[in-house]
Amino acid sequence: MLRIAIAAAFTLFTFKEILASDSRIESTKANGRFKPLDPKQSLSFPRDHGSHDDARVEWWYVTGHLDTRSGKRIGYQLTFFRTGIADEPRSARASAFAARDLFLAHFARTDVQAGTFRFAERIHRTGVGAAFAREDRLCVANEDWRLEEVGGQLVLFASDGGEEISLVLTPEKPPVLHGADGLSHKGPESEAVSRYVSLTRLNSEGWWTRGGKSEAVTGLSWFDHEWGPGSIGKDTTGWDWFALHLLDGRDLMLYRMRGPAGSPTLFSAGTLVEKDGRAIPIGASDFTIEETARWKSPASGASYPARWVLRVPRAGVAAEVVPLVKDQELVTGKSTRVTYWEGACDVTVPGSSIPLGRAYVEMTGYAGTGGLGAFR
Amino acid sequence: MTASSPGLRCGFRSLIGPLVLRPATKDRLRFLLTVSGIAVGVATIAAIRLANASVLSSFSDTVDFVAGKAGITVLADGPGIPEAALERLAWLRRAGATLAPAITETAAAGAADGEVVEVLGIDPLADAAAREYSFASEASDILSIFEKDSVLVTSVFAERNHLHPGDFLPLVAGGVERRFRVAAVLRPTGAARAASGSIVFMDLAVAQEAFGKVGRLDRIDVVLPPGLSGDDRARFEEEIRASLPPGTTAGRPERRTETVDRLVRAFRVNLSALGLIALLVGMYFVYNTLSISVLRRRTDIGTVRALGASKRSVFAVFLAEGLALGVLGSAAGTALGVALAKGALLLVGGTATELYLPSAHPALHLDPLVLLLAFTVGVASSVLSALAPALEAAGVEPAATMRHGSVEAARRRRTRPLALVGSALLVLAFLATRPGPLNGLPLFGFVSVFLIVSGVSLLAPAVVTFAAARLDRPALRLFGVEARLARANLTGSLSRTSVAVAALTMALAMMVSVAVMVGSFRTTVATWVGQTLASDLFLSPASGRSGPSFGRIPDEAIDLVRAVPGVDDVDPFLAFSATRNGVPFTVGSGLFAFIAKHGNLPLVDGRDTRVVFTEALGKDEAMISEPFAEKFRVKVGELVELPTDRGPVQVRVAGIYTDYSNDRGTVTLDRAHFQRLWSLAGASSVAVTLKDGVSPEEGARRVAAALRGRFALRVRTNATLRKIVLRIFDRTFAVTYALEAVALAVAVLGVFNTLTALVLERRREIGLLRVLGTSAARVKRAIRYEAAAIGGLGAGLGALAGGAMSLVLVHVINRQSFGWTIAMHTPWGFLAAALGLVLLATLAAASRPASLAAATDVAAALKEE
Repeated sequence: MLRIAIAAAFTLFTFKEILASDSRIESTKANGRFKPLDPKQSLSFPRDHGSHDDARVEWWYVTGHLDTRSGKRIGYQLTFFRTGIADEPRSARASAFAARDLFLAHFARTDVQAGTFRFAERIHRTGVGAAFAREDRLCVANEDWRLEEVGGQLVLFASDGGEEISLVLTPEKPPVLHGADGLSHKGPESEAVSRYVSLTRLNSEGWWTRGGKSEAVTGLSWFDHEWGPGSIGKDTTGWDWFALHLLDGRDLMLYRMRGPAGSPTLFSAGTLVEKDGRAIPIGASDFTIEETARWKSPASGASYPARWVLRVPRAGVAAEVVPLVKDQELVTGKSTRVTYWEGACDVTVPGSSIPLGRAYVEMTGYAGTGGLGAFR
Repeated sequence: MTASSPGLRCGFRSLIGPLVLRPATKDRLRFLLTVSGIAVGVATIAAIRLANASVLSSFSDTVDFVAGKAGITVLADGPGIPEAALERLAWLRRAGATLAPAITETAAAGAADGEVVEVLGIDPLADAAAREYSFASEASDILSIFEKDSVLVTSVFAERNHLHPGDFLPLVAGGVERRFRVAAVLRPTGAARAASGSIVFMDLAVAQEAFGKVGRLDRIDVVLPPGLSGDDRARFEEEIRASLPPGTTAGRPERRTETVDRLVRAFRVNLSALGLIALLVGMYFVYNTLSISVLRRRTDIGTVRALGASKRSVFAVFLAEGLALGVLGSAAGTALGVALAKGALLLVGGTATELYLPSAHPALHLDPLVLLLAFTVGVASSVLSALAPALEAAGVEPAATMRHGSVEAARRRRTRPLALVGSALLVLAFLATRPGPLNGLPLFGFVSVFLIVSGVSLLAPAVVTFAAARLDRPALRLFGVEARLARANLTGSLSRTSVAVAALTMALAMMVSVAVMVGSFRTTVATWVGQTLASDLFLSPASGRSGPSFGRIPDEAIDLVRAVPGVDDVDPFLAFSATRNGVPFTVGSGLFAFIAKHGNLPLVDGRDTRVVFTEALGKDEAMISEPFAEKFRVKVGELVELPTDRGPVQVRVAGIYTDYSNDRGTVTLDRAHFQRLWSLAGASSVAVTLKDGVSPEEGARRVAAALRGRFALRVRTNATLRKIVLRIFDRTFAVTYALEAVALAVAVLGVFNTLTALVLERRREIGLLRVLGTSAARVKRAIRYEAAAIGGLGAGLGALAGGAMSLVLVHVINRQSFGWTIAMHTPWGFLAAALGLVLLATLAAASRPASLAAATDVAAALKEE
């Protein structure tokens, strides 16, 4: 999905470079490591939840809303990125540290009652004892952050500053392939395509620990997995992505690609997942997104949309999406060059407070860039 | 009496003029001698301290810049840290720490004459927390730093070698030249300041592959979470140690500096001891000058005392003279020390940097504290030496001043007790040779040398008296009445003559002992080199401008050499550095079969090398070098523990071989045994024997031709290497020769000084002799005989004391500092020539005083009567 471009941007080019040329992608060698996606190849799970070495960019994304027994609400996001940087077969290098991939990870928590948002980031290269992504099944790790498939369930752990989340996620629906056979187009170019697979509704149970105290939590999570050459199209300046868990048991994913003037492009799309797991594709002309508020970040100075009304007439959806905390911006100065907004939201009937569900929203392309590792 | 008395100002200030300044200006030469004596001592101490401090500060700077913000550094105690150590340390990340793994290497930027650089292979991502970098020119594609031929260079290095981003940079290490591309230039901040900018950075994986270190790391810098207490740190350190694999150590980064400090310490202490001896000679001069000055001015002192000057003022005046001499000498010495420090820097620096930091260009760092220290030592010792003469001057009673002989009578009465104390000191000197080193330093040895010098000096008056009594009759028969005159003067002015004899003795003893020690050492090393350098050719990795080589020659290169027609046999030597209780030593390996065949490594206990090495080969036993046995107190048959990847391994010692090539100590194993314990390949150097009928030059040509274009190795013939070894030896000891020469010159001038003083003082007597009919020529001869007696006694005593001191130097000091057994080889020819030269020099020094005596104005001299 769109968030793939974040991963591409994590290749530490400036965002503009990525959008302007994609030269590294075109330079893919015939005998190199990176291959274009083969549309004919069908996916098989659980293998394809694992890493794809011939794809330049890949990410695993989990977002969710959790409730404690005492009535607290927590939103969380745990993301693992892999960006291939060496276009050569594994046998070309002898060192276990040969930098084939960069592994980046973001972990964010939203404490709804306290109105706080915290995030942490990690970056490692291929090496020993730091980060990896297995190819045979879903098992990705960055230091002690981990996401792994065990017997059809996902096990997740992340920690930061004394705060820990430890969850078991149980899918309620089969994997959803977005676009035709999971091929999701982001722009007019042939390489602006990726495989996009989701487990949209994951029953979540586990523990949330803060300040040395653990509390049992339950809730719903959403798992996205996307891989491909990493291009999002030359003229794309950013995107807005929505993932809604509706109370009626349906799940809705929508993304709007923004063109040079900020207007939506033809490659905006979505998927509606019925209660029984059937996935219905949504085209660019099937939905509208209306911004009803703005928020200016004091950290980055960027101005973000801060409230939306989504309409998908074909599916009978009209929903207002309201951020639970205004500031859910990740300024990833340590590891990456991208600043983005990713946050927990409530979903209501437009103009009222009647709840329709819960959502996660991501917005990119509203702020500038940073530096790399030791080199500033 | 006070200064307020009209016309009679006899206070301290008023005494300076007549008692100090006037004589000093009149006796410029003596004044200069005294000052230069102090200056040489101070200069030596200052130079050595400065050089040492400069080397250490350049090294510790590099250690600091490389360690960056690391609180704890994990290092290999052996050939390298296994990569898996990172997994075992993963818990540290959870505790909020950052791990920055690195590869460290040394390389030459060009095989033949390239600048030597440190190479730091880093993980640019993890390094953000540990070290600081700043681009002078931004990389066009920042990801290119991960590519397998990328390097980052410092702006200092780039300017010196005219490098720009995109340019190619050859790096030679282990005999292999690789071409790198400059990805970017770094500003001289943070880690880029290490090794004074002679450092290049590359990706960790690139460094592992380029330098044959795949699977291993050289260091892991641990940046601890902020705000830790001392206890927390210690706990971290302990837990890190507990989770490390065998063959690794963890500690504060500064630890490395301490290792180097320990390494150069023995060298520094020995050179400083020489400086102290020079200072001792200087102290003698102050004492000598002031004593003579007191004696000569007894009349003046008596006069000013009679005029009312207090004892205290007289004491203060002479002490002030000592202080003034000390200040002048120390000031000159400090300045001279700065000039000498450059040379000393090469000497002290050579040892340290060859082993630990070949790329360093240690700059002279003029530490004001060091200069102040040397200055203070000079002034203090000068004042100390002035104490006795000043007390003596203060003790002069107004009434007793007219008779000089009364003082000499008192002196003579003191001869016996002085001799007794001197003998006691010599006994103590002998006892001081018994204890072992203190904290690794031969402190008792130095005490012993000091006691010998002091003891012999105290014996000087007795020896002079004894010799004069014994030689009176034979001398009279041989040389006539002038000899008796000389004898009478010798004992008559015992206080002066014995001081001259003692000073000469001291300088000569120093010269003789050092000459014997260096001569013995050189002969021993030359013999050893002759025995051990039995192979025809020696190969080492090309290392650019660096004298010593670094890096490991790959196995392919060794195989290539083995296959060259005319090559008979090949012995690869492979070694790495390890520590034992924090003290560094070398673990080495060679083909025991090769050594057994050629029998070229002599054993300390005289057993047959062939037999012992063959047995050691069969039983997987180790051979240790003599310095190792000395340093760690290990004997044949005992076990030594070696750090391997699989934990410590005990190996039995089969024998001890002599080794003068380094003082760190080496444990040597057979190559196969070694490679079973450590997965290391290649060789640090390779010895090659040629088939009969192939000349070394021809062999060298063939080997070089076979290697050309593939490996960059230095090929040296046996004769060349031998020459190089002895050249290095001579260069190392050049400074000692220089010091000796200076001390000796000062001592000879001291004889001149004493004789002049004696003549001036005895004008009355000489005048009387002349009136009684003694010819000018006879007077002249008498002075010459006296000089010869002083020179001869000084030379004899000096040779004896020097002989004793050389035994202490060779068997105690050298052995305890370096662990080397040196066979005594007295350079008789050199010593005879040197002693003869000293005698001639004293005689020559006597010629002006003699002429002075001969030219004494009889009438004027008698008028004084």
